[in-house]
Amino acid sequence: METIGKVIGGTVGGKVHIRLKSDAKVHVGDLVTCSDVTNEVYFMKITNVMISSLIGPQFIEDMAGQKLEYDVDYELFDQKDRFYRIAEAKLLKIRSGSSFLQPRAIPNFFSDVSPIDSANFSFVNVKGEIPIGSLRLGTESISGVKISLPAESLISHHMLVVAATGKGKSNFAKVFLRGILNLEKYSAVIFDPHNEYFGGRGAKGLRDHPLRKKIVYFSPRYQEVPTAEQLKVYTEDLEPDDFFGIINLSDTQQEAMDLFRRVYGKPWIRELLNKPTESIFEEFGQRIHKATIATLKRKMYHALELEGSKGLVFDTASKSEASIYDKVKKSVSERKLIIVDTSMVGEETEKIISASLLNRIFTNYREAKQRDPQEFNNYPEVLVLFEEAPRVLGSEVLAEGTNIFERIAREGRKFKVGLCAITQMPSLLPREILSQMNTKVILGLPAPMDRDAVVNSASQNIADESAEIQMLDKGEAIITSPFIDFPLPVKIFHFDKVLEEDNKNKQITLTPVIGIG
Amino acid sequence: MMEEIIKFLGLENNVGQNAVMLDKSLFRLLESKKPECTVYAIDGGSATIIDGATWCISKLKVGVVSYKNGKRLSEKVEGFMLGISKNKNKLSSKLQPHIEGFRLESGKSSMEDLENASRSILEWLKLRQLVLQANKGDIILRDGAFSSDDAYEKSLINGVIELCKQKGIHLVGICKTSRASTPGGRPLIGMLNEFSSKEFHDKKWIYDEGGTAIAKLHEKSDFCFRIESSHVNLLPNALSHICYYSTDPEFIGYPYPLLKADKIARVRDFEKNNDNRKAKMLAKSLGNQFMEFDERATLVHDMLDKRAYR
Repeated sequence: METIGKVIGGTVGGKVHIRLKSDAKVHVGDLVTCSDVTNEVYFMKITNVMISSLIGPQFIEDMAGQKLEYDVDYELFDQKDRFYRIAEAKLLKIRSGSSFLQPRAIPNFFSDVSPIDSANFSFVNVKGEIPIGSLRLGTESISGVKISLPAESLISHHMLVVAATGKGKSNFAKVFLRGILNLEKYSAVIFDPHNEYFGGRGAKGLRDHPLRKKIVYFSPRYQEVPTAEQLKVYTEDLEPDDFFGIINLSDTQQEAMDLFRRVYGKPWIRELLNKPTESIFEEFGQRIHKATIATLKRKMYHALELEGSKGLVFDTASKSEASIYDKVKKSVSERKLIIVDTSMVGEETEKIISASLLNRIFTNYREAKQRDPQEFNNYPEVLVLFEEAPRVLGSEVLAEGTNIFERIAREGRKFKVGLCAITQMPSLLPREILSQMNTKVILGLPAPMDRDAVVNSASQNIADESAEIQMLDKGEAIITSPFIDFPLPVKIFHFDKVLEEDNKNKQITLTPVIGIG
Repeated sequence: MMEEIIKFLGLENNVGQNAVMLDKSLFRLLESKKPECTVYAIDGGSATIIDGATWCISKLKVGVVSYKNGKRLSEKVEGFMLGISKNKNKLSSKLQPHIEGFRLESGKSSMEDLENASRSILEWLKLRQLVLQANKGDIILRDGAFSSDDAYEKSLINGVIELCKQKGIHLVGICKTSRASTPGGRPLIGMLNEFSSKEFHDKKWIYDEGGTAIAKLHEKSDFCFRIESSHVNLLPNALSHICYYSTDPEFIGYPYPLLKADKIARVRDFEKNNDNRKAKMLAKSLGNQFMEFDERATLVHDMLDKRAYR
């Protein structure tokens, strides 16, 4: 095996220092291995690479200055001896005989360090059903070593996908959803504010997957897509809870909404909007201030994007067909993927749509568990994927009051409902929420605040990976999870490519159990 | 206070005369040429490991490196231990391991002189071995002059130079310090530095007034060195090759092979401490307790040094 360096120091709890061979190609994120006289094999990950020299820093500065300032014609003799690189590595695992141990020892001085080879990948002991990419060594991916995530553990224990713009959040989400689609055990509800998951207009999406029949697509533009369902919500189906913590409401306004719901029944929004303020004021015995009624009317019109009695999604008319909530609940029970296209509505409207749908799904699961635990066992685990997570889970939002997203983050796993929150700015999420997101898919994050937020809430200690997180290129990820032994460097599959493969092998076997290999 | 001293040095002793008396025709400009031959460099180092006032143990090292086409071919360092004992003002010594031809003339006045003489003799003995293995046309660089006050060392030096002549190997001594002075009393090197900075700015040169050669080996260097040679006629050509090896920016203008030989021959502090501990432990295991007690006779200075504000 090619030797790329020698161990020159380090600590078990800290880092192992390696002097690198002058021509060794070593990058942050690379996995390396070494064995010493004890015959134990150490698996390590490069976390930093630095240049060093036995020559004092002021002499080196002087040497550089001679060329820069005086154009001195010089030649460096014994360059390899005097100017070299030192790598810092983090111990991941130790193989002793046939078992893998947590790293509680350190290799000896001058142990040979080699790049990891395919025979040594068995230490990446991740067994799962959702293939998401290949093991990544620094900037190169090892295509033979596929990484699959364990769906059952992951889904209900929540996931956080973090990345700056253009680093591949949506691609990861599509690859992950494609994995769920290939299984028959799970369901997923996807709120799609950019209409990119379903696909169309030249962009590949889940609709191009051979199992597209398992997808239910709700969109206000349902006429444009033959199999789409109309995204239409009758306001009769909305409850005051669907607004709380979602739009900005004072306590007085929330109490007034509760009162309207109790007095007017299901058509409470229609009544509120249609009746004159004066008449409502009198009807409620002047117990609700006129300004409150008028403000609520205005907020409702705005939040539901109504023009007259209906808007693009919401309709105050009497319900004449099955509600979208019933359709979604049925699709979930049939283990389908539900995509809700919210790309044409505003932020508040989108939040009401997603919160109200989530309320119904969660209530349905919670009640089922209380009603008949046996029957509940047959309910599929459901993943709720949404973007721009701080809009509903941000510290500022939650300071105004709790909402269904937070509730699911806290209690969802008991009821088989898991969140997959996607964000560019994890630093806006409160620490409690970040900690609830057990699995974190970290794509490139250049902002230090965001990196710190993720590093400080990860299941494993990834403080050493902070530099790597900053440098991650498009599609490169580090995944931390309590269901993985150590932070896993992954090159995420390109969705279009895996889709191509799926279409080539149209006979997709459901629930394949794929591990490493 | 300082002004008085400067006046004393410059005026009353006439050392501050201007460098206008040098003969410009004695300068020859040098070119840098990459040599095809092997260039060797040899240097020695020494340090006192334990000083027991009337005895001491010293470590001596001789380092040899060789370069060809700008690449290092070999690097070798040999270590020796020297024990010196003073009894009734008479110094006696023992070198380990023994090396054929090693001999010390009596008459050294201090243990320090004896240590330095031993290192120098070892260097010349090793240099002789090196000449025997080198090939015609090769260059050997030595740190220092080809002279000694010691008769035995002098004979060694002459033997080595003769051997070099016979084998066609060019031995070049690079002297870092020189006390040579002009008739007016100024150091020759200081005078040359001043003169060349005006007349031969940004040039490499050799100044040879017959017998004493001084050279500046890189145009940007601030230093020039006194040069000794086994083949005076061939010196400019050899120096052009040495100029090629004097382009390393770690010490521009000083031959890099000598810099490397100096590094490997140096007795470092950790070696000193290590050997000091080892010697004392070994002495104890042999039933000799004297070392630690005797060492205290000279140790206080060191201890104060370590505690000093720096």
